[in-house]
Amino acid sequence: MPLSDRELERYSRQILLPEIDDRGQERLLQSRVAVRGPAWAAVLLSQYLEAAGVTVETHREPETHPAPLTVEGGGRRWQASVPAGTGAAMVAVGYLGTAVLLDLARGGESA
Amino acid sequence: MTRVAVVGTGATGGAFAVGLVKEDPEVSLVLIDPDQVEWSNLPRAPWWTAQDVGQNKAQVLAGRLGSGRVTAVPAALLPERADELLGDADLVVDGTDNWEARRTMQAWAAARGRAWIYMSVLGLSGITALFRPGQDPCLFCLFGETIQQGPHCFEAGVLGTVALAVAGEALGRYAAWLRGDPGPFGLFLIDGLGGRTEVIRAETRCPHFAPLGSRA
Ligand SMILES: [Zn+2]
Repeated sequence: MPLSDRELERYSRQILLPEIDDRGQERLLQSRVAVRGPAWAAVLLSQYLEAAGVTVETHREPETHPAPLTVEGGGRRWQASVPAGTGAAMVAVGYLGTAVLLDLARGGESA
Repeated sequence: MTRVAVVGTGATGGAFAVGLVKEDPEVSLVLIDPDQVEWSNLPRAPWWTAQDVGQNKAQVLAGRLGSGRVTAVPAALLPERADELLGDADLVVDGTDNWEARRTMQAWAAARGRAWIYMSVLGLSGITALFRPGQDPCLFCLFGETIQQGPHCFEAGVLGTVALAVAGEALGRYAAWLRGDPGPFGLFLIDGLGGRTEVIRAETRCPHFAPLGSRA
């Protein structure tokens, strides 16, 4: 489905990225994933993926570190380890989220 | 109690503030931003929602952080207002996309003997660094004295999760500064595509600013 004017405005900064583009944004808006991991990091990652247009189901687990943070959807799986420390956890969530968004935007096409 | 001023509450500054309040619930935080929330901010700033569009960014974020120690200042950081807005901050954090504001932060930090943290993000990469004026290299040492505004994110695009990684590395620099152990100066390069951070060490002696004075 083509993007609405509001969606084009809302997601304009991502659409400007050649790695995402219109087609990638459409794919993000059609994507569903499940996020599982230590609660704070799992919620943070879910919020960023949702903000980027993805539909997310979040499974919060107890706060132990280091702990795996996983994302599953569309037959694919991504994983990172969440270290102790807020800043380091944000870095891990940021990099994992970036990989998930770029892969989902790319769809079935190879890199 | 540490007093931190965050200038700009968008993708980098807002994420830093969210992490800072979790890391240090006792922190005294001032959020400075003259702008209103726009639709195009939402994908990389999950602390704002569609209902916040049109409201002042700093005020909405301060409400979300929900602590009595968080103050919102809906104003732009101009050189003539730096003392008034940054006040008694122990550390200033750059969450802007604006070299004029960064020059102002750097000049204020040098004049007042304070440290500051630089953050930037564009496309799928970003940079952060902790600067202690007079002790570390400065923006002029690293980027030249005639630094000009480069492309903005509304020209080159940006991804929120990359900004989050930048803010996370910046929070790591904050934690090291707070411990009194930031180590030698490092320019942290965030590579969203590669999923890794590279640290460039630089020990240039800064000719632009005098060493930090007493914090008293
Ligand atoms: Zn210098």
